[in-house]
Amino acid sequence: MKFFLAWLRSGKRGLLRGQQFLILLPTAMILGLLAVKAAPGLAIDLLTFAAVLTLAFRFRVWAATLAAAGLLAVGGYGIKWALTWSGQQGRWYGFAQLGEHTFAYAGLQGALLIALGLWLTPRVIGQQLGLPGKELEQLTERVETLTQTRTDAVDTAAAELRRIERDLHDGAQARLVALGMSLRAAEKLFKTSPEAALALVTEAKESSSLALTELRDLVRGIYPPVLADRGLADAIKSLALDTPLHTVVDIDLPGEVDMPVGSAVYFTVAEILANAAKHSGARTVRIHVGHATGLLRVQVTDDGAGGADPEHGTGLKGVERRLATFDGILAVSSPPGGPTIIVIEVPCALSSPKTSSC
Amino acid sequence: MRVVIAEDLFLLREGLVRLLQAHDFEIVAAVGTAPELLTALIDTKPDVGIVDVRLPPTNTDDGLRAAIAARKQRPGLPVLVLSQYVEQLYARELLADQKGGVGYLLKDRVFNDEAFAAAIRTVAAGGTVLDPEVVQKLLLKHKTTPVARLTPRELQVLALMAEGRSNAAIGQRLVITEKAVSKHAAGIFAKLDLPLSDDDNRRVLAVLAYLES
Repeated sequence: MKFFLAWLRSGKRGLLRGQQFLILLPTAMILGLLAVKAAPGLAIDLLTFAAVLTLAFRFRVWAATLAAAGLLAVGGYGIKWALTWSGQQGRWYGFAQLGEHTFAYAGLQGALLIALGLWLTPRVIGQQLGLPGKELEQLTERVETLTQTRTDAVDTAAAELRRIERDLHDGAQARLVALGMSLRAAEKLFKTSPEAALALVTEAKESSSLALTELRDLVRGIYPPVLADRGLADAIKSLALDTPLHTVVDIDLPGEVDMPVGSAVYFTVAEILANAAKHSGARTVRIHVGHATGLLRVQVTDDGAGGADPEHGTGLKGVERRLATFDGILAVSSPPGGPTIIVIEVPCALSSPKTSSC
Repeated sequence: MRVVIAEDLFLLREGLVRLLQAHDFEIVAAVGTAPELLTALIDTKPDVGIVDVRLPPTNTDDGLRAAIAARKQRPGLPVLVLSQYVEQLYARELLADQKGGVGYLLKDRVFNDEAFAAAIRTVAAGGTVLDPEVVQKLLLKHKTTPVARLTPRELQVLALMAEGRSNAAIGQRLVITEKAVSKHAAGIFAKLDLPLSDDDNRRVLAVLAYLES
């Protein structure tokens, strides 16, 4: 008994799948039928329902199982009563009259139960979650969106790693090899031809400078230093300083944005500013950053020629995908003749602002 | 000349100490964290502090913030900030108090030890030395402020001034006489409405106007 109770309690809290439900009830029915052959009577019915209830409790599909069992009981005994009343006699188990065609009746009953299960299960599951059908549909859509954005995020991350690996391999690593070779050659020439050795050492020094420059550019592309040091607000200010355009920056962020979101927003703004500088012919760019009702909002407006097409080119598409990972959106309004207005919105919470340690 | 060095990576710190000793600097403290740096800058009263931007405890811009904090307590305390990257934002913060005695250079500039030693001396003397990379970024910017009134030649002179070069060095670089450089400098000061004061201070203010543009 103790083990039985423990087994009952260990039942899954989750929901039963349609198939499990379909197996559960017919199994109970067949067990019931077999038992009836050996010991007919109401006791057998009770035994069957007890089994069904036990399984229902174990798997926590209260409503579905009870509804099916209840329908079976009421319907079966109803039909039995109706047939008896109309003069037909015999022994019954549920819907099935025991006699020559017991198995045919049982088969029919099984088919009915399967249909009932298929019809009832999704509705019951929806109801247990407190969701009407429409919300269930929305949930399904959401799962599809999440699957898509997750795939995009994973692909982007993998492509990024490949790029970093390639840059390191062709850049800094190659330079360090060249540097090592130059130094080794200089070492050999040191006594016999100091001047040639000196030239090689100078070359090695230049090589190390270039390696550093390449590493610096690479690091900027991975995680920009100001973003790492100061967070999103200062990082956007820094972007504004670095663009050749005249900028007006207005940032109102009462807290700090999480690193992954901040990074996505940073690179989006960087892309927008780069586009504005390259294509728009704008002189002034206005950047507004704010946060309200759980939504981080960035608006970048330039006074350029307009006509920017977000479908054209991969830059904006790329950052848009990156934002989508955080349910962020990017909207572009760029009529011919300008102005171009680009708005980014990302749902995110702000943490308390960084405090200075000095 | 008495120098405080703050760098968290042991190898780089020792390298800097050796390099500076070879150029006759006296190292009064070589520390590895921002709080130690702040204490050293205030207590040992060095002629100049050489500071890495990224330092413990948070390993972000602690070094920079310690340097700025120290300059609040001792206005004009010369600091030369070194970093693996240069940011205009940080350059502005360093220069914001308009006191001069500020340097901001990429770490790889120490490869050229003579130029580096000269930069330290310029900063210690109250001058301003900005990394050519910062200056280059500034040149890309569309100018909308008084700086826009400068002629291309004056802009060139101002850019070299921002890198901390003397009039003689600027003349050499642009292949003009030192006198011509002072004339350009006077033109720059006039166009930027800088009040008459000692030349060093006006150079700092000119660079600042340049940054603000």
